Amino acid sequence: MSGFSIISLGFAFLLTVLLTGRYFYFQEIRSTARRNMKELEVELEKIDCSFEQLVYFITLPSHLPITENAAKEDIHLKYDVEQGMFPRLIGLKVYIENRKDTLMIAYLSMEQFRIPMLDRLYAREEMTKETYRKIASAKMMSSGTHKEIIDEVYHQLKVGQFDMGG
Amino acid sequence: MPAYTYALLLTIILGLLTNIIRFKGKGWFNRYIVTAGSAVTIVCIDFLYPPLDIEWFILLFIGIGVIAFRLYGTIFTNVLAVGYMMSRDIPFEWIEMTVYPLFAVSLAFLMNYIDKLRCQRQRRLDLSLHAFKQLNIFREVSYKIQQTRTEDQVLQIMLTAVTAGYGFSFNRAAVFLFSEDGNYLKGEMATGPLTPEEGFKTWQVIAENKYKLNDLFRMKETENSLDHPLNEKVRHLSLRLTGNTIAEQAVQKRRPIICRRIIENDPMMKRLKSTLQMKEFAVIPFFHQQGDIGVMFIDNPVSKKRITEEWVDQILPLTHQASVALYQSQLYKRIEEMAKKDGLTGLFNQWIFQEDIERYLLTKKQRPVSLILLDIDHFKVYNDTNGHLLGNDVLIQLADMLGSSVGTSGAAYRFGGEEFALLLSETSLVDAREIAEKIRDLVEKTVFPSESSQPGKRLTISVGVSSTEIDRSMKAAQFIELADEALYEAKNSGKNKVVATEEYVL
Repeated sequence: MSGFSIISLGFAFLLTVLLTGRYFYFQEIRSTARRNMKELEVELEKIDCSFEQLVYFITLPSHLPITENAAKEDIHLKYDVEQGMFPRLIGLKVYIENRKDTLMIAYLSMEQFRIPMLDRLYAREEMTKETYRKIASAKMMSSGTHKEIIDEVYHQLKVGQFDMGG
Repeated sequence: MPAYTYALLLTIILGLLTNIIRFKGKGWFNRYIVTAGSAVTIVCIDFLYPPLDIEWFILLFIGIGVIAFRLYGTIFTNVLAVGYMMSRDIPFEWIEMTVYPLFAVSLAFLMNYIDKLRCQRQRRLDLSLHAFKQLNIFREVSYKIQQTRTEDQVLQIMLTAVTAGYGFSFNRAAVFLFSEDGNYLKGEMATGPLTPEEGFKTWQVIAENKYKLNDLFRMKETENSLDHPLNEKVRHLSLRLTGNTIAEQAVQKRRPIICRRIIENDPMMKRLKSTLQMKEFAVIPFFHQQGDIGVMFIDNPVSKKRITEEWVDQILPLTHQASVALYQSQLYKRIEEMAKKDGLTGLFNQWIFQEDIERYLLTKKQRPVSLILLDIDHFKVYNDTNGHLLGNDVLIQLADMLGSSVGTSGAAYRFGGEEFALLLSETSLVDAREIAEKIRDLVEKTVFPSESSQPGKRLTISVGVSSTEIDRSMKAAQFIELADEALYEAKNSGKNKVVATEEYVL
């Protein structure tokens, strides 16, 4: 094998690691969370989480045309993942996307995403920080949480974050 | 299939295996596995497909080692690479001697630069999140504070904003205001749990119900608070100011102080530790241009999160806003009192009397309401003889007596000049007459300054009493007129006596 072939093998290893890293990272989070939740005898979808730390970058209720005319289907979520050799979920971006424009309207930081049940276990030292993070990441990645976040954001867009009417 | 294809397949499989394994552990495990994975790949290819230019393949191991461990990776991988080549009797030429370390150092610098960019990006994101969150909180707090006028509501809004997850997310906050003599800080209001377990319960309820900041404000307003015990405890707590306590230092410097550990010499810290189990906390002064109001203590006994200067700084604009709102609410309260009360006697004035009588007649139709009007006999003589200053003293003395005589069943008013009124709810004419007689008797027996100058050598009053018992459909003007006529009758029939409407009407 030539020098070029050997270098291409090096690239092949590197590309495999880089391109499949995110997939295996997410898979591992899901399987670890499933295992841990089984031990705790709780379903991931049924544990309560808080969206208190979802920070909005627009005034609510917003009068921007893109938000005023937004339907629930226009709200999209995107993972904010640290790129590179060691992928890590660091947050969730909330966008409004329509045919004309895309606007990031909110962000939920992974560090700030709290789950009361896990907080209690962590405080009692019955759970490590690493496990907490994996379960919280899995919760953030679950479809039920996505639906809840979209509902929450849509409600805020239409009614206002603090329900000023009250 | 050619050897290259097998080697490529093997490389890809080993890459996949590395990824399957590396995420199963912590961060350091991940770094070791990916570095080890590259090493295993090199060794496998070297053993299965010799001879080839393995020297170039070793760059992969060095590169991944540097990415994973930076400086340590640079040294560690270079040493291992050279060791491996020596063990395999691979000729070690000048190119390896220069390219390996050069490659490693260059990559280390590049990674260092990327790390810096990442840190800056993360920092920018954190700052924007904090700034937007702060802005949102201020918007809500300002709106809420605009709607309120009382001190309690201002404090509730501020404490909720400081402790709620939608707010600044501190676990507990307690406000202490200076006592009137300035010797104590008196517990005013607090929010948060007494124990971590209580905190988790509250936290669970909030998450389950997805309460927003405004929901929490509303709950506080309706006193359906989730953290009543702490509030009760703080309200009964007074902290003595001894000259150099942490709160006094914060007030003097007009800046927050973070207490990382309890200092036994500070009695205030000891008290906070023994009563509220505070271990690490921040004290934030409340002040405005006119002076100091008090302090707020904040801590995190549930999450045990370290209190940082950055987070405390974020609260400051809110406490300044609350301080001004508190000062304004105090001013409003004073102005309101001044508008309602007679400046000399401290009794309610004629304006409030008119408001109250209308309200009493409107809301208490089923129960009798009685009115006592009284006037000091020969008060003009008293004033002419003793001067208006002494006359004012008599009015104050009489007002105090009336205030204490009326109790909780009604209110006393200065009706005008030396004339006073007592409005008594749920009091029959007979009972009102009895009260009036007691007051008249008390005044007669009380020694007033220079009363010997009065006709009869005593200061006396004449009293007229009326009640809605006579006619429940009576309007306020008619009600007052009846009492006034009874008073006129008492004056005309010899003074120092009580005349009830019934007697007069009959």
